[in-house]
Amino acid sequence: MSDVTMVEAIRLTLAWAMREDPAVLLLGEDIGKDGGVFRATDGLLARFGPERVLDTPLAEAGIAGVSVGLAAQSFRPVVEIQFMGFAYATLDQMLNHAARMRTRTRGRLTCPMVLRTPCGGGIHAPEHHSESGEACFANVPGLRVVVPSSPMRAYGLLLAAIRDPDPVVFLEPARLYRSAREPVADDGTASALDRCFVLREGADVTLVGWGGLVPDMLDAAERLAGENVAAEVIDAATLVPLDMETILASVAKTGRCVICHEAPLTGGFGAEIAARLAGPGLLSLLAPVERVTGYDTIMPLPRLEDAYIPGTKRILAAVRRAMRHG
Amino acid sequence: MVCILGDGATSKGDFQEALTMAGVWRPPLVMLIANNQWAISVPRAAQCAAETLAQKSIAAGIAGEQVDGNDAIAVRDRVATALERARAGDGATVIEALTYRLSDHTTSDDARRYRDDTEVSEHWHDDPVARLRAYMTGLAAWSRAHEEHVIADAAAEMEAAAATWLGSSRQPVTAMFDFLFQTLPSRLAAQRAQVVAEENGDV
Repeated sequence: MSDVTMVEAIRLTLAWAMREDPAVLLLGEDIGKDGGVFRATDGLLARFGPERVLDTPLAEAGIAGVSVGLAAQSFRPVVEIQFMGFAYATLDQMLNHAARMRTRTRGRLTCPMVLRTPCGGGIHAPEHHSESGEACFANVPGLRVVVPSSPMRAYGLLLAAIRDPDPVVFLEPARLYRSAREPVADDGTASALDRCFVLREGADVTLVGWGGLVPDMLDAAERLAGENVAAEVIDAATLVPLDMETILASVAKTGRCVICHEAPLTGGFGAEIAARLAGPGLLSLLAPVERVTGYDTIMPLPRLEDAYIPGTKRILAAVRRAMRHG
Repeated sequence: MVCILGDGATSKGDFQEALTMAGVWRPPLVMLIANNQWAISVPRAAQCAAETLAQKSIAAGIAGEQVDGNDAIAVRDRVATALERARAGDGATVIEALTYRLSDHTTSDDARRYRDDTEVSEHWHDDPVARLRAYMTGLAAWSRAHEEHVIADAAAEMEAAAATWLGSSRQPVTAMFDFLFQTLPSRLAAQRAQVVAEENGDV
């Protein structure tokens, strides 16, 4: 078991999946000789050949459309879209075709494809390379949406996504690609695609979030411990289908919930969690539900991205507001 | 209207749709394709099997042509002709300017991962700047002294621009709320106030 970065873990997963299942194909722009702009597919062309690692023309709608067809005919395409800003061009295919294949054919055809794309800011890129568009996909019936936040979880979740019989949108926080190393067994063990990860236990407040903010949530929890506030940290990881039971059980214990995501506030996936807390979780709440999110603005240019991305400071402020209650 | 795009962009559905509409509505449009043979790591031959990119205009029913993109005078001439057509109401033109990407795609790209240095060095023989220099020097319209002067001026201008940027402070955090709507909705105004409070450490 060796320590790897998240991008290395993703590469290990792709290699494992291609070795175990000849139906797995990779498609995307610059994923061949170049190994992808973030190097997630580095070396896979040499190892698996051009019939399984396909450098595509610059046509995202086409890449997604071809993959829908491949998936419906027994292949397992794993698509790489270079940046989140280019993934919106796939929405027509993903929403109108990938997500509806099983329903329209009443189960005769299925669409076991994975659409991978980097998401989030912190890499000093323009706005269309830095977005967090998970809510766009989470609102599409028939799509699973997964956001890993560590090398180990990326490995288990991506393997599960590739093995899943339905389409999965897999969003990789770009600033976490190389930010930390973690031991990854690379033994073909997948994670459940419908479970949150409780990363730290605590009885005073629940921090629930995903993706690039998870390290900030853990950092905030560590600081709160110094203030005698025990924070429970939950990486939601799979947004659809969401493991609300774990979140509800945590809030039943703590009575307080701070939801953290980088995407804009309004219509963000945090609103879904808040709505469910207002339903079955309402009687557990000692304090109003807090949401720590990006603003309802377009991702600013690099010099201001730290002011946009909610970090430890804003999470701590929200927790302190919540702790005034109860 | 002149739209400048690369060889990679011609694979997008948006481009085909634009040509389709331009054929029907005959807008005053020039589509100038800078075909530098590489879309990051994907070479022209892997991008599209059509013999030329200019011929994509044929199916849309609009004019199209290729030009030597390393010949600045030829490009000037063909674009001028296309603009005349556009202004005269004769519809859109696709111009495919054939050139070569001598550099990496961006500062984070390393083109040696996917193409041979020998291929690149061969294309330096067709450097459009060197060709224009040779032609104009032959006409006695250009000299080494003049070129040094032009380069020094340009370098000074760039250094000054870089120094200005490096010496500037970042925009105020409220800048991300600018140019979003003509009038900022109250919910966003509240978020803007929150950002200011956070900047002042008043959270």
